Amino acid sequence: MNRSRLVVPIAILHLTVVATFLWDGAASDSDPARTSPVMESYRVISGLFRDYKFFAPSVANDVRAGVLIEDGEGRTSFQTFAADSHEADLRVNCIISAAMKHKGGKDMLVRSLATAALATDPSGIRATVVTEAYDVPTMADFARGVDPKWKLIYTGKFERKQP
Amino acid sequence: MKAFWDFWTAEADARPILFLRFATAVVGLVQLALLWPYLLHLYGNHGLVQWAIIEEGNASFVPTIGKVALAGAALGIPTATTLHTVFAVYGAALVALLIRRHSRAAAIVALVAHTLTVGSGFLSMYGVDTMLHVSLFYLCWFPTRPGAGARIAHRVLQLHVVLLYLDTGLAKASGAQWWNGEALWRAMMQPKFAMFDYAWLADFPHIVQAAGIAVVILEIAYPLVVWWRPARLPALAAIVALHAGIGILMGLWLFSAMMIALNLCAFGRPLLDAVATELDRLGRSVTHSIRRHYPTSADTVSDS
Repeated sequence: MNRSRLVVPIAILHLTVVATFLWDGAASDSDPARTSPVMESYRVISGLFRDYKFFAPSVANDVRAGVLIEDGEGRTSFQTFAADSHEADLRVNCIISAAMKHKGGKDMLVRSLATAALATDPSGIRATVVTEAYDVPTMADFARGVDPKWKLIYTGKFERKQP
Repeated sequence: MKAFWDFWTAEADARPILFLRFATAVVGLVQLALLWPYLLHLYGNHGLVQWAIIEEGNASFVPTIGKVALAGAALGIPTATTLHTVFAVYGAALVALLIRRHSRAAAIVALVAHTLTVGSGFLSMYGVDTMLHVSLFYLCWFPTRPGAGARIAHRVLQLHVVLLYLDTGLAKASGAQWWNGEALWRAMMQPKFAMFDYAWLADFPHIVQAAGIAVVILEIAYPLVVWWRPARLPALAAIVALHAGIGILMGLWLFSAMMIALNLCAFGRPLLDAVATELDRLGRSVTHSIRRHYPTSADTVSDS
């Protein structure tokens, strides 16, 4: 048997793993309880860390987040996380979206956003993270005059820890 | 059994793999250039998501930028320097892939660097990162010389693409939004994807609905009909048009470019050959034209 015939079963095994991860939902669920560290490592190295269900089964709302920063004298300023580059902005959007969907980790992720905002403003002592979702009406409702609008979905208040 | 082995191991050249290498390097480099000013913001420890949060959910043995940076910090290397070094190494490996220097080693280095960035930027990633990573993984193994290995590599790529479209097509088919047109409408109306004003689409709901259903049917049918030679080119043209549409209408340029490249590598061999022949002919014609007006010393000698 030549070498290429030995490689074929490995190729088929890899594709079977790909199909299994997609079918099983493991490619979109990194729950450590479901997979062993070895399989988890293979998943990360081979690119099976996400499934391919782009925009499926339904299209989620767009989200945006901003932070109201308050300094010691009560002055406030507002920061958004939007980036100038469309490519970078898509990624910021993914982070905010993931933070809103994160099971049990929402507060922690939003705290992280607040920390990032406070880091850019040394005089800030309090940060209020405001997250909104873009609510798109159905085509029928839109034709009847209902406009899309940003709806508040989450606020979190955080204070800088004094050293 | 013979048909099975012929399917997998018949002699083949490696031109689709060479194109995959080229396309992966180009998309990766363009993406890196666009993201370079935002690396600390997106991947840094003091960026939008601190490393401690990312590391908490990491159950694999695979290192991340955070872990490498911690090791570097013990040696006095600032974490920001480590982060930029990882991306610089990634970029250098992509350049090596592009100019075909030590391609396999370059693919391995690019995959390792990209894996580090996946670990630390997991929450900010979207489709283009996934597809880039899959391509880099395959480029580590795929041969670039003709032979049975090139055939196996090509088959793996084809079947991976098939699995991809089955996954996305079946997932879309299970959602009501794709059958009533609302999925396309919602996607187009989102501020992050709205390259143009699409509000007028609400006046033509049946067209939007038909387009949504067409996407579902295409994504489910493509993995099946693309194997039938007479239908291959129309199916490929339709899927390329779909991704070009996503790129133009929704601004997902890099993702679309990567998907088009993967499809061309997997099933677009005649198209790639035709383009290569045409470019070759054009190149020779341009060279001939230049040499007619500006003959080199070799031309002068041969003319006399």
